[in-house]
Amino acid sequence: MSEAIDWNALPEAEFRARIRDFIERQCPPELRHRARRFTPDITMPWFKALSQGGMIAPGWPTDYGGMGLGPARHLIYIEEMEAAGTPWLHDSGVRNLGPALIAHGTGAQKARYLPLIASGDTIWCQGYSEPASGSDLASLRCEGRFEEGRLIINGQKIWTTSAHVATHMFGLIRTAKGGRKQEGISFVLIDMSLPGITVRPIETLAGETDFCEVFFDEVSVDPADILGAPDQGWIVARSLLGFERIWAGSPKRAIRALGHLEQQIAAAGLEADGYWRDRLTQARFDTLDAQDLYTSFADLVRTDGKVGVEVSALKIWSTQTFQSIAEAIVEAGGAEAALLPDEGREGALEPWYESRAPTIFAGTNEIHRNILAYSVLGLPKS
Amino acid sequence: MTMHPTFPALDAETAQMLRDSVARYGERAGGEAAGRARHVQAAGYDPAHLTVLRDQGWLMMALPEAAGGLGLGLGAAGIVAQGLARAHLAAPFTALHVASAALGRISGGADLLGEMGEGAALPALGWAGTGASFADPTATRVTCDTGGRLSGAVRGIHGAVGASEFLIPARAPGGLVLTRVSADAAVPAIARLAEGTPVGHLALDATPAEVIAEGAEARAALRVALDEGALLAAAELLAHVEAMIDLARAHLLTRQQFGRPIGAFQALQHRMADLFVQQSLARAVLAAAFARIDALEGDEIARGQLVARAKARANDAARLTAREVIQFFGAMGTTEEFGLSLHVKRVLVLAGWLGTSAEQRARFAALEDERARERAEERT
Repeated sequence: MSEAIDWNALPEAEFRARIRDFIERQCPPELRHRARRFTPDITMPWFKALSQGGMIAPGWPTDYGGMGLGPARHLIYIEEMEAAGTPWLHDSGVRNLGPALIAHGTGAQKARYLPLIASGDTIWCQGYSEPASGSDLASLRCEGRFEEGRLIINGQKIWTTSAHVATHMFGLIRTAKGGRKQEGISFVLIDMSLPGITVRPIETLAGETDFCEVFFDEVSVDPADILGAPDQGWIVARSLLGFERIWAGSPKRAIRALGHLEQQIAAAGLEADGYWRDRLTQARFDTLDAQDLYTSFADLVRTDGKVGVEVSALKIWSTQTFQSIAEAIVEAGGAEAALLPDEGREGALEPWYESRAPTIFAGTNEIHRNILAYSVLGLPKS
Repeated sequence: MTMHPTFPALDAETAQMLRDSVARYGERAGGEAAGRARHVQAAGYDPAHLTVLRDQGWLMMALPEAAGGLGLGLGAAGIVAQGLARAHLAAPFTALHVASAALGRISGGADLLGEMGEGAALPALGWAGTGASFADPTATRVTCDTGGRLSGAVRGIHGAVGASEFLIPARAPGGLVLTRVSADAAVPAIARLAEGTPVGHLALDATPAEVIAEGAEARAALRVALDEGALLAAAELLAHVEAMIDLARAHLLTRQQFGRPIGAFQALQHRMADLFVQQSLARAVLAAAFARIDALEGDEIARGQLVARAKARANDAARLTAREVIQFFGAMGTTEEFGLSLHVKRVLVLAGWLGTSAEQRARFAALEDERARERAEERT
């Protein structure tokens, strides 16, 4: 383990160089610049390498084994990982749960869970959405009742990413009724191997099985695994959203799709075609403009350490650009676009499938338009 | 090609002072009345307005110090263009900048530039390319004979009315030349744009001219001038986007139908949110373009692509905003007498001037090809 590096004190160029160098040495080339998500057995060696190098948790304080990066450095860290095409990791525990544990956890909870999260010995999924609670998350009904010193959970979660490979879930459970819907929710850490938990993977349009339904039937949990005060879990859940909201609006997916569109146009022999030259240029403009908008928010993170609600504009534009480029890829491919690709190859429909979810997750684009209307433009609630 | 760090960056404090002083002038001299006056002015520009532009130093502030300017960079001119546009006072600022930017890049331009600074000359660039060659002055159809006489037509010259002379790119036997023609020798026919701004059409028939630059020097100067002009026009467009969104927001908060403000209806909220997205994009793209353009003085391809993208975004954001805000205002939005019309018509003019979005995309793609050819040549 590399001891006591003050990452924030390094000159920026050296900081970047160290991260790049680490990736070059430790991240297997066959895992890089790939669109698909790998299963944890494939990515775990890279996860463990980051963990052993003290680089798995950029945002955690150094006292808890993190790098202790400030927002500006944290953003650079993410940019370097993206630029090097490092694979998506099952690191929801690090990114989402860790900061909540550090802010709201008891000494015992932190001592028990943080090392397990950072080492990769536990894989966490986020149990928020339910069949009847999507954008209106606080209406959730998956129920917990206190009985003989235990918390007994019954109900269902859905769209739970990676639940089928997770060892643990951090979930929102309705532990009290009456009052405002945001009250009476508890933030609970749940061992997925407990009796009474059933996981059913859901196949997506792209043929992937990354999200799941999770059913709870009289699942008995130790109330010591409630994070924060019982019935006050909404506050814990909300605290997860920091400057990293900017990341939901990263133009990285649109940039990748743009490369695919260029290849598709070339493969179809349409490079000199006036219509396709124009459409490709529009796609370039939309993507480069998204990049400029991203940079303007990243600059705010650098100077203010946070971003405002205006960042919803970035999320809307980047995800919608991804979709419009995906549309162009399919169209440029003609009838052949619908052919299933050879094993291991990316077909023309893949970006089309992949571009559906980003306008839905991390707040649907409609919710983000509501945010802009109310919180930025000051329009009255409808 | 070497890049000369001629332009120091405008620091935040100076930028704010400039913004404030333009806004103060806008409040004093601008507004709806100024916008309406565009239609009634018989010819030329308000001398008092020109005096302010000159005395404040706004006309020459972006020019290199070596060319008699303040060397504050194009970002300073962008702040002025945006602030003046908001108050309907932008014309003829951008047109005059285009002329001075061309003069500032040629060795034979110093005298005229000096006269401009003193208020003794008001040159207008006689170039209005359209279609695929809109940004390529070498495509000029005006010819210059061996005796230095010009023949051909130039249409739609901004700043032509009241101009003391015209700078006209022409094709001479030896290639491109930039010429200077006195307004006494070439009298423009006056036409008006949708918002009332006069432009001039020139019909040249063996009109005597003075060659002030040739070949590569002329071409490079013209391309810088047209790029800078397009970016200033984009800054003007952004001002109109902001003004129209502000008008719409106030209307959505106050106009009551079905017993509540119409801004409470989600159909309108989401459309306003999409306008905000476009405004945010245009702001970010223009800020990035103004921050980078001065350093790209020597890189025609990168500069041209930067400007093409910025102008296209400003065009698209402004045209969308104009359409949507008319709809938000209902019947009132379709009237001439309501102040929104001044913004809408100016947007229709600016989105066409110095490159429509389709023209900008074509230019960007052509520059991409040029870059690919350059790289291929480097390899061989």
